[in-house]
Amino acid sequence: MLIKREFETVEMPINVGPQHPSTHGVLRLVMTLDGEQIVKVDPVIGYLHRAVEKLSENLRYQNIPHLFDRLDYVSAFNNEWPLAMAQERLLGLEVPPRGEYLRVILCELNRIASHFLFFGAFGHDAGTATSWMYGFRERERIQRLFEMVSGYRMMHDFIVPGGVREDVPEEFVPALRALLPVLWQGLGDCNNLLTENEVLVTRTRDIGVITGEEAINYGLSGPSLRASGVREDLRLTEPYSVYPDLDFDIVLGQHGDSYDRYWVRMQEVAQSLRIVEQALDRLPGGLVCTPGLPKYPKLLKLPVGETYARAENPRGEFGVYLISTGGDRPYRLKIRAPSFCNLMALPYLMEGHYLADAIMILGSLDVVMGEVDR
Amino acid sequence: MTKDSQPIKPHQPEELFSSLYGKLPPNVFVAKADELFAQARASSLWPLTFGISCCGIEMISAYMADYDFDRFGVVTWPSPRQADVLLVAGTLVKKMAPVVRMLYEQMPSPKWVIAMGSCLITGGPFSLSYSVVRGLDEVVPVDVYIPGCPPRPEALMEGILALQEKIKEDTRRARRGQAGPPLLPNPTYSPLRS
Amino acid sequence: MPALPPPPGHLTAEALQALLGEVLAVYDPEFSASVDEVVVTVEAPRVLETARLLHDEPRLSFDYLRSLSGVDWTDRLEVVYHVYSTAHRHRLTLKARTPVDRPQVPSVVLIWRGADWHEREAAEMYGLTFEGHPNLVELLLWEGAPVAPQRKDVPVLSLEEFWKDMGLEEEEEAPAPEAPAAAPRRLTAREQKQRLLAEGGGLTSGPVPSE
Repeated sequence: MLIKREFETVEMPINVGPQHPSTHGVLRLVMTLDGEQIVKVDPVIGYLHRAVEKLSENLRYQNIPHLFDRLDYVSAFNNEWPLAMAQERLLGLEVPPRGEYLRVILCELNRIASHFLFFGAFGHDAGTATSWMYGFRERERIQRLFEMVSGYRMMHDFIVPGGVREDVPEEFVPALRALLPVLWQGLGDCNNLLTENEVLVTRTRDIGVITGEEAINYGLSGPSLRASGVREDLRLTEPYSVYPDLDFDIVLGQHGDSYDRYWVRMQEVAQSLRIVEQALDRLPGGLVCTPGLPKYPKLLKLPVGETYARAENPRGEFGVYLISTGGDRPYRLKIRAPSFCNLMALPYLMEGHYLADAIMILGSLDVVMGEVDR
Repeated sequence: MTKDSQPIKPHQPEELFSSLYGKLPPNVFVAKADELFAQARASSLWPLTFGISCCGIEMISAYMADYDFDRFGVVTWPSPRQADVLLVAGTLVKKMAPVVRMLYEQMPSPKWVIAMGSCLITGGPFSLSYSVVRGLDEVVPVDVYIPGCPPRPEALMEGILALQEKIKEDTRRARRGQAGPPLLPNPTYSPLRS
Repeated sequence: MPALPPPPGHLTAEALQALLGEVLAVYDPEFSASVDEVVVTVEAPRVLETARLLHDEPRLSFDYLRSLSGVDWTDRLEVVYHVYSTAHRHRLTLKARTPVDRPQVPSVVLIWRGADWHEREAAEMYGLTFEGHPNLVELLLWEGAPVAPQRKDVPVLSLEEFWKDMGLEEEEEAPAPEAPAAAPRRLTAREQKQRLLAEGGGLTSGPVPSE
């Protein structure tokens, strides 16, 4: 039996500072709490602002992917693709089919790796330590494959306008085929750990609910938008590359809460594995880059024009608005980062919830501060 | 020198402590106190969880099962009050520099700093940016620099092992009266000067 | 599955331009085209009503703001809005032009809530003022940061200044005394590089000097 009394409470400001194990990078939340309930939250960003847009205006086109990899540092291949797409549109290049299929395979593998990292971080926010181990076990397997392809585990600088830089070595396709059942098994392990877990469901069901119309108005994208039931997936609604030839489903949530954002990502791993299997079966031979372009383009001059190229990143719609006035450097390169736009909805999602729920909401948005601050 | 006037060879406890040797049970270990403390500190370094950007992901990989830092005694710890090492991984930006300084000052001595990644050595790929601090040593005194963009987890392990060696070597040098590395930070630095 | 077919309300670029010409005639827009989108340019004071029309008109229904960027064209500043319609799946680029000495643009945050932080960032990076924005404080920059750093008149640090800052300048070498004529010695790496550059080759072309 609970005796209710009228208490006079004072609102307390607290600071969830830039150094915190669960802020997914250097995000600062200045919260005003009434007891445990959040009255007002003000995210402060900019602790990783490296001025990539300004630096890109002084870099030649072949040097910019080096910086772009470091934006969404969890999924590096996915950042390079829209940049290459923007340059291809201005140059009018056609990518050969093998190049397209390799791009799809590498980017979908990176999506799987990114979602496994999300799984680790989300479980950690909920209080487990095992989820990190499970998630990174699978991520390491994928990173070893990446090392075979580009030489790097993380920052590849591999997708160039016209295709990919080099063909994959012969060991890649058999190694990937052998890895796929292991990844399915790993996904099953991760689902067994958390997806039906009573604690996780209680902590995330109906927490941080956002409706479809509100989500569209806020500019959310990616799994956070699809969890609210909005049927928007750039691979299907504005298809690019060879996605129209591949068979996969769009994963939609129903409630728009944190659990659905988690669930949509785990289902997307399964869909991405399907895509990789199909792409491997269909992988044609031939060139991987447009003929006529030098293999390592030293001086790429783009004609005058502007374009907005976008791709479906693991976090949402990654857009590159490129203005070129001729020459070998961009005039303006604006990066539309999905985490930046998703994070705008954070005060709307968090206010009214308890502090413990707030951490789950932030985890379910899956933000990477490298692309928020750029 | 012992009673028998034989030359002392280092790390030969039987000769050093021959007066005690043979009188102690075999499961008793005798050592110099500061070397023992140095060994204990080096074998149980607790870094502050401070991944800022891309290098932070490789740092997490190093903590995970494939590379496993725990077998070196390295356990990531979220609070600076109980941490030994400030393991900074990622680009340091002028907005973040006072935070790093504050965390460094919140850590109790003895403490060490590892700068992981080329962004913290000279600014890395972003060194020409108006907002990047060119190196961690402008804010805190650094003990170990690990180059790479990002360094592999094995490189981070080598950095931790180098720090362990440094801790033990610094103790030996301090005992011999040799000057060690400067322990006081540069008091005139202003991180927000742009 | 193959790509979802375009919904019935989808407009091609020509149809879109025609409809926009009809709907926005009051605001005197200019039409152009980027590589794949229709571009509408209006003067800055009119952009709020234009955006409201784009959002509310049922045949257009641009309800999703993809991106809002500032661009510095040295004689004018532009704010570029990339909008998209989730219902009809067509897209548009809207540009608002404003002079450099009075860089004021009405804020569209009441139409698209997702413009909030984009406008804050464009304001601090370009020195723009968004009238009607509820919270136009700095987002990414810190106290003491350079003012409007992404404008074209703020230069990026050059490599030479960077080297000087880090204390890595090359020292002037004193001319070496003439060595007695002997068997031709191997050139050092620096001399090989200088010879290569003097011959008109570069480090990115020509044979790699062997050790």
